[in-house]
Amino acid sequence: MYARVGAAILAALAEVGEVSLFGLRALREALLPPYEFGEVIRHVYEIGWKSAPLIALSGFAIGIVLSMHTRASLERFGAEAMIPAGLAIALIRETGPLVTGLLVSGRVGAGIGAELGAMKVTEQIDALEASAVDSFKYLAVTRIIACIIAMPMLTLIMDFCGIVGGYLAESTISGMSWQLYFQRAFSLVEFNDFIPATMKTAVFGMIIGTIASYLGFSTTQGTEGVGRTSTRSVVLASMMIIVSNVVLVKLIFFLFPATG
Amino acid sequence: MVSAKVVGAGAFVVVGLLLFTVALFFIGERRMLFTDRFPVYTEFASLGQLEMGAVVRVAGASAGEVTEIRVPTSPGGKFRVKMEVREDLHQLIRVDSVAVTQTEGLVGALFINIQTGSEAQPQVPEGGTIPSREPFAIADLLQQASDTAALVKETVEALRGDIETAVSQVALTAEDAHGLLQDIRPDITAMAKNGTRISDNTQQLVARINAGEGTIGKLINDDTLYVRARELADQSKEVMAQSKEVMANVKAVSDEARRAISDFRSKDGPAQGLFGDMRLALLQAREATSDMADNMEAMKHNFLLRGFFNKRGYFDLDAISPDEYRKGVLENGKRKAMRTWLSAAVLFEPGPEGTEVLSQDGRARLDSAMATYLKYIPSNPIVVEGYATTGTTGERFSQGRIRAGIVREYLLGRYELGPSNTGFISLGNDAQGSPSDDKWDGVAIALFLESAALQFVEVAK
Amino acid sequence: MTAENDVAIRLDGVSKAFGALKVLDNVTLDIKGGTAFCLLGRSGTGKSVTLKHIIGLLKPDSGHVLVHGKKIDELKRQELSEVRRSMGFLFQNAALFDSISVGENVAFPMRRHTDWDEAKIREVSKAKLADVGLEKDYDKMPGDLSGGMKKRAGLARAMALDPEILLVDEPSAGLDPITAGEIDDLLVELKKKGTTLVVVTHNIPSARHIGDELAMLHEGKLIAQGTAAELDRSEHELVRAFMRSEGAG
Ligand SMILES: Nc1ncnc2c1ncn2[C@@H]1O[C@H](COP(=O)(O)OP(=O)(O)OP(=O)(O)O)[C@@H](O)[C@H]1O
Ligand SMILES: [Mg+2]
Repeated sequence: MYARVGAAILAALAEVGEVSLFGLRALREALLPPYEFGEVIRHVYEIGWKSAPLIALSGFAIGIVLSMHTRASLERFGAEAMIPAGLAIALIRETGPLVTGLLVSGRVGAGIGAELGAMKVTEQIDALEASAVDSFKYLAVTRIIACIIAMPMLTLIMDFCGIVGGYLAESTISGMSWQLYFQRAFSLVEFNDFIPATMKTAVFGMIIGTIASYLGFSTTQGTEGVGRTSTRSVVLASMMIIVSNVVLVKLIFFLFPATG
Repeated sequence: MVSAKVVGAGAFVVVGLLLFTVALFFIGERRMLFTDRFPVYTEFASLGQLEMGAVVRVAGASAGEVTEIRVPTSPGGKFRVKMEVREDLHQLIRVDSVAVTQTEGLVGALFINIQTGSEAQPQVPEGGTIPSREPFAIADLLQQASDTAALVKETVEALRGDIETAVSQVALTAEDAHGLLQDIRPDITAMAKNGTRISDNTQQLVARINAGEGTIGKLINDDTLYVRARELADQSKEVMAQSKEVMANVKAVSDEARRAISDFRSKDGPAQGLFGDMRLALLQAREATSDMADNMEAMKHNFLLRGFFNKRGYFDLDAISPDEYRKGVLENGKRKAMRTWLSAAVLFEPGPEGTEVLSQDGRARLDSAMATYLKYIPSNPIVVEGYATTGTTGERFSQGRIRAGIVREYLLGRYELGPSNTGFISLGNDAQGSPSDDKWDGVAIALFLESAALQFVEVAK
Repeated sequence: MTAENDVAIRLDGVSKAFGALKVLDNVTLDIKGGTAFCLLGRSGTGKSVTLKHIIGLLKPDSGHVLVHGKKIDELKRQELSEVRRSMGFLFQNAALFDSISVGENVAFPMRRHTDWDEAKIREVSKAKLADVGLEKDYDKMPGDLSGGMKKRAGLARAMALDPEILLVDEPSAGLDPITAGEIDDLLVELKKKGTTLVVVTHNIPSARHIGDELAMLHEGKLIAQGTAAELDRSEHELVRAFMRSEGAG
């Protein structure tokens, strides 16, 4: 009994270790030539551009909902003028980054996991290697980099669409003008709210890319294994995003204390 | 095949970078990183919650931010606050401009407002230092006002005795000299009235200030409020000074009166000069008491106290006309009036000089009326309505007022009610809803009860 | 008997196990440059594993694999890549990259390892596809090909850079006899041009046709090695049974 639990814990730790090494190796190899620019661009397109509609639409809906919530709570204090600012702060600081991270880990994490898993079980990864191509660099590093690039961009799109959605909700209720809304939205946002929160999503991108690529590379047992990899990628990536977010938020408060 | 993807990826990155730049620009614009700015300093002994990056405004216009806060080198020193201010507002900031910390809205962040200086003063130089006003604690000011008001109350109580003796002595004197009576009666009446007003107002003020401080002080920290609180403190000081003057004047009057009496009774008959002195003293005393009463009135209407009490549902009956009162301004919202009608015949018996005083029976009736009300006090205010049916309209109102005043005085004394939520008003003879045909001769005690409580009362009946 | 530098591929006491399963047990073997070596054996005996060792996709638990005298299992990435560039590998299941077209699959090694322009890459990859009879299928996606067509496309990709060493895992599996014969001819053609061939096959006639030397793997060991004629006379009943079979596949 204890032995089994112990073994399970050891296995989990080993896996965490492997994923971390995988990620670190990816970061290191990203810096060493040869660079796979073409592939990175292709994946930025696949991961970023193709996720943009999903993110934009979600951001829009979240903006509307957040606006209604902030209105409900701020109205009580007679602070309706703070609605745009409250919404912008909430979106930019936390909601935008986190929701984007979760959505991307769903769409992209599953995609990468399944794609690489399928390549693994059909020996395409071996075929790459046999063609004297560094499969790790060609497949994993490029995807991880693309995730790192795409996440902050997608977050910005989410933030922007959220603020626009908030504006639509607000203007139908109070008829506030576009200029006033934007001015108020940014009235309380500091660089310290915006830059670290947006940049931390690069870490989310790193997490999504690394976990999905790692699981893809370690897929076994045929098509069934591919399905499992895809699911596990989403679960693990979402979980790690939520957990790492706690650490990142704390770290940001520590490094940029004025945000508090 | 490749090119479409490259374009897509490119578009994606461009959109992202664009949004990033726009956001940076928006934030930067607000913080005016891209406009010409000049440094100016100010110093605070206490920072409140002022932080780096706090917004700086000049006469309310968004002007820049706090870029540095230097800690004092010794406990007696001040925090030196560096502000970066938009160059185009420079000419508004003169060497006598004052920097004040204010709060944005009720719950907003602290910012520094620089008031525009005076035309005659030179512009503050770049890197110069302007005076500041410390973030104040409104509670301190209210405490000060409260202390002064309490002092005033004591003085006024002592004073009241003096005024009464003065008046009675003057009256005594006047009894002996009928000719004088006509001349000084207005002075005496006015003084007596002022005396009542002063003592009334003092009581109310002390109660209001005590109830108000602490609550408001903790909630709001705002410049208008500061001004009001300062005003209140100043007003109470002034009243204090006046009360001393009144004391002196009244003393002079009673002295004069005593002298006049002894002179009058002396064999030589009254000395004309003495009467002249006495009239002068009377006049001065009348003016002093009247000024003091006015000042206290103003103090009572101070925004600080009024605002608070209006919100709590208390009313300043002095500001309400009988007409408005009848239309039910006090009943607005959730309150409804509950009245007990008491006729003059039961309440009063004739007193000296054609006045009315409360009869034994009257007191008993009032007590029984109050018995049902007491549990709703002080959360529900009481108004004593005075009515009279004889004489001209003016006489009816004045008699109604006197009756209501007497009853209120009795209730205040007997039940230690708060003066601020026990009002009185004269309504002449127009008594809608009275037991006798919309006319009433006497008083009605109206309890303004919250509807919820009212229902409960009716069921209980 | 042969000069050391004639040996293109050498397995030197290679052993490999997957967990408890011993697949290769101290296998030693030399393959001369410019010859065709046919590896026979029953299903699941480790033929594909042997090929993967030669190109360095698998590392021996003990022993060494040498290609042109270099120990594949000890090379750094960079050097391994160099060696691999001179090799071609046809996977048993073809392993075409299914996200790009058949033509791009063949062009892939050229794009990676040559500085040819687009026109040349296209021309050469078309020619390679024509060699395996797929000239019309350049723009098809791998998913739209039959099993045999995939196999041939995979072979075209393996030949893309005209490798010195070509490793093919069952080239004629799933092909009709005529096409299979054409593929055999193609391989013989390549051998004549100096390519070293290692062919895994179950097709004995084809092995006789292509192979200069044949070997049979059984229970982790090479139980027979030599020319077709030598194997016909092997003391192992299994080997003789194998050689008698005419089974295509
Ligand atoms: N990566 C691997 N992990 C675990 N076991 C493996 C692996 N690759 C091969 N094996 C096992 O090694 C043994 C030999 O496999 P191999 O693919 O070499 O057989 P083969 O001789 O090519 O058979 P066939 O003729 O059917 O292709 C098999 O039992 C297989 O299950
Ligand atoms: Mg095989």
